[in-house]
Amino acid sequence: MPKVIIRQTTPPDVDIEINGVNEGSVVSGGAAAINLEDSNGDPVIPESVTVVGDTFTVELPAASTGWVRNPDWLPLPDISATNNKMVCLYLVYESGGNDVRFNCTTNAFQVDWGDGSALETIGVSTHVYDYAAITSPIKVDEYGRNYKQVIIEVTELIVNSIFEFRPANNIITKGYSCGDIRTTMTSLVRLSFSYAPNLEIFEQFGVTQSLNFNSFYQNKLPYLKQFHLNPISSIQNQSSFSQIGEVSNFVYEDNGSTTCNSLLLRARIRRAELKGSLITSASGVINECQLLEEAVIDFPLVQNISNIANNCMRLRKLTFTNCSNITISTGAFDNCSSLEELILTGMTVGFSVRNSRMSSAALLALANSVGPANGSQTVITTGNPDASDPAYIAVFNSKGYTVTT
Amino acid sequence: MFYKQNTDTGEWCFGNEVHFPDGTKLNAENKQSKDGWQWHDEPPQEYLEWLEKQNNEINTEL
Repeated sequence: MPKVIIRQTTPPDVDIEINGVNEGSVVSGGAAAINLEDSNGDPVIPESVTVVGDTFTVELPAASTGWVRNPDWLPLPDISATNNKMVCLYLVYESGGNDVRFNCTTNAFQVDWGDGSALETIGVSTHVYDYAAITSPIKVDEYGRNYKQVIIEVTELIVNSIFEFRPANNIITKGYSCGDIRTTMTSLVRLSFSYAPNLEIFEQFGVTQSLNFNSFYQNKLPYLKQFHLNPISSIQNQSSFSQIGEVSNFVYEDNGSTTCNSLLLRARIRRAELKGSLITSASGVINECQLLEEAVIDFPLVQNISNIANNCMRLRKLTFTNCSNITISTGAFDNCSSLEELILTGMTVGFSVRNSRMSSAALLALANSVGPANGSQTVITTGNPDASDPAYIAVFNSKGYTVTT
Repeated sequence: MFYKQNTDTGEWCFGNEVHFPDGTKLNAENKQSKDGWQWHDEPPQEYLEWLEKQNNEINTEL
């Protein structure tokens, strides 16, 4: 249990009060240990405790997603700087059902199955793992089933091909065999399964083809935690990621699409980093993302951000790297009741941050981030804690904005 | 409270104080009208109708 020690060194014996509440007596020369707990009764470990005069400042750790990768799992090889590879953690169950199938452009890929068998050039191919022959340690999953692990490594021999991955999906293993995936292939990767509870990380770098990620649609991968996709030429199904599983960090770069409306509508993501060099319309992109806490949006050509982030009730920090082309901002930040920081670099039209949580410093940073108003424009800050602070209002006014508080 | 309807989008804005770039400040002590902003002791009917329409659209979507 973490403790803050308060030592009383001068007589007489005294009672200790914390924020006005009597917390008991400390004997002269003795010490009182203060345990910190959160509202759930769980211990809280301070990052630091500083003392100025009689004031103790306890700095608490930043909010955690609570997710850590399964410590039993083999590390996924880092191939982010290597072209034309795919690696996948694959779980081989003692109970059987350990086939993996590929339906690929013939002779375009070579695979190392990770079980000591020979390299194989694949097309429409199936490989059946022999649990007994695999040398990695036996692990036990949450249902008490024994499994061993292999790392499948695929090398792309012909770029821009078709690569379809069909993990075992029989009655025994269902979609459990497929663990994390990392790929740097240029080929279109199709994940031909709709439920893979062990697929928690999907990272794709360097794809040049258009993608249709139906696999991620409508909560088909409910346990996805890390998602990285960049760059790609375009997304074929704009709502592919709608209602995606609980992702702690969603990184997305699209250099082909011009629109991405409602891309992450109601997605259960905690952090988003979105880039799109050609996107002009981004209406509702992170609309109703109820778990979202932070987002960085880099759409330098975007014109329409209507309703882009409304109803993101936990969103604390939102940064736009370039707003200079925005002409429509209707409802962009409505009902962002937790918003503490908003940066709109180069914005020239009005907007509303009504009923958010922005302090004087945050409002000043916001005012400093925007560009000169394009004609008559209004900024609405009603309901923010420091909405009446004249300092940020003066900055907005100097740039031609009317401010409503 | 001051109210203003955006003639381009139809949206309504409102607030207790309005600070203009020319230094003019509208509030309960200065209830003059300026640039479409008007003081109303009660929400204007046009605003209430717009608000009801917005709520109906949201309910329809849900």
